[in-house]
Amino acid sequence: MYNSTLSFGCIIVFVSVLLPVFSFSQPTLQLSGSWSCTVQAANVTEAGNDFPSTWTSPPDQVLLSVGGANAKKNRDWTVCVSRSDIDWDPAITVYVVRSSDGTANNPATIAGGAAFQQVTLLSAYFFNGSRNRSNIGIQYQLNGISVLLDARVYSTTIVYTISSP
Amino acid sequence: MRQEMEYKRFIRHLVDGPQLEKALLRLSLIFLLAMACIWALNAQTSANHTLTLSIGELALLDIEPGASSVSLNMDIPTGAGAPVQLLSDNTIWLNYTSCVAQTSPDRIISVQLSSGALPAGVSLQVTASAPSGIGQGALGISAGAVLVTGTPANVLSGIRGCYTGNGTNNGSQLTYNLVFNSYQDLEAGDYGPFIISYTISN
Repeated sequence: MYNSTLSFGCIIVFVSVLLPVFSFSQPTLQLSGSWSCTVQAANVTEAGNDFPSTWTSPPDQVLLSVGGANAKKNRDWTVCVSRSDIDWDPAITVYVVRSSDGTANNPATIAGGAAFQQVTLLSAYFFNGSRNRSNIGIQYQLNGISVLLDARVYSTTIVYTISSP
Repeated sequence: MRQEMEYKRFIRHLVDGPQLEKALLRLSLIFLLAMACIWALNAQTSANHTLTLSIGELALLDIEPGASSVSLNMDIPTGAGAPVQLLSDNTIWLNYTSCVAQTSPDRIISVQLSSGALPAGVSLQVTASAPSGIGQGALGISAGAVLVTGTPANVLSGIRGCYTGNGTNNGSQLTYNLVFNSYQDLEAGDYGPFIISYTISN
């Protein structure tokens, strides 16, 4: 009876140790940074004019890092992007571009995302690559900014999803 | 049946078994739970952040063309006994930009004679036209002809989020007229300068 109990306990510990190994079967994504855009009176060049309609963040405003992608079976990955509105106005459109490649060891690759694309409520392809890569730069652009919008704070969540084929 | 008995013995053992065995088993379960949490946290297949846009209120107003001045003169009548003709001026335009919070009140544009006094028997009247040009939004409604005095008077009201466009032929065109209140009070002469101020406010 005690032998079976001890065996059962060993099995639990064995499975626990193996769980992280199983988790490395798919690539992972880490993100740093965010963007807060402020539009105010000083941005109107002269009375009678509207706000500039397009606002662009600095390059590499947000950084993405891909990990867990060095094993043979999960080497290739694809990143998709979407947004989930918290308090937004549909007249304001969001665009995203990959502003830099980040850093990686050869023979890692990266492709796509080199031109601004609209971020919608539906997840869409952004860029793809292979193997681990750090600090991939992301830049944003907002269109449709106008004094015709209510003066307040708007917010949305930008979501990046990584997957292996 | 035998497996069921083994299972029951195992559960009973958890509760009633020897202290050391019980402790080891419980530790194993806690370890399993901890590793599951670590695994869940590290296996991020998605990442996100908040993007915020802050738009502030603003109210801007100017007169076009810039550095404008108006001269209103009496026109000489065509014949004796005919009334004096007064010329008007409509060369000045108001340009404005407004952005308001949803809960903020409508804005108005008011006019005031801020320097100088009109001669006796004469009043100055201004009419702000309905906004026109390339502007968009809630540009407001004209109050029609109003007297320009030392007390502010509304020329446009109901202004919210809007922009008129820049320059003449955009916004509200101002038409000035002199009005004679009584001929017997008129005295010949040059009067002025007067400063007329426009203000956009809540």
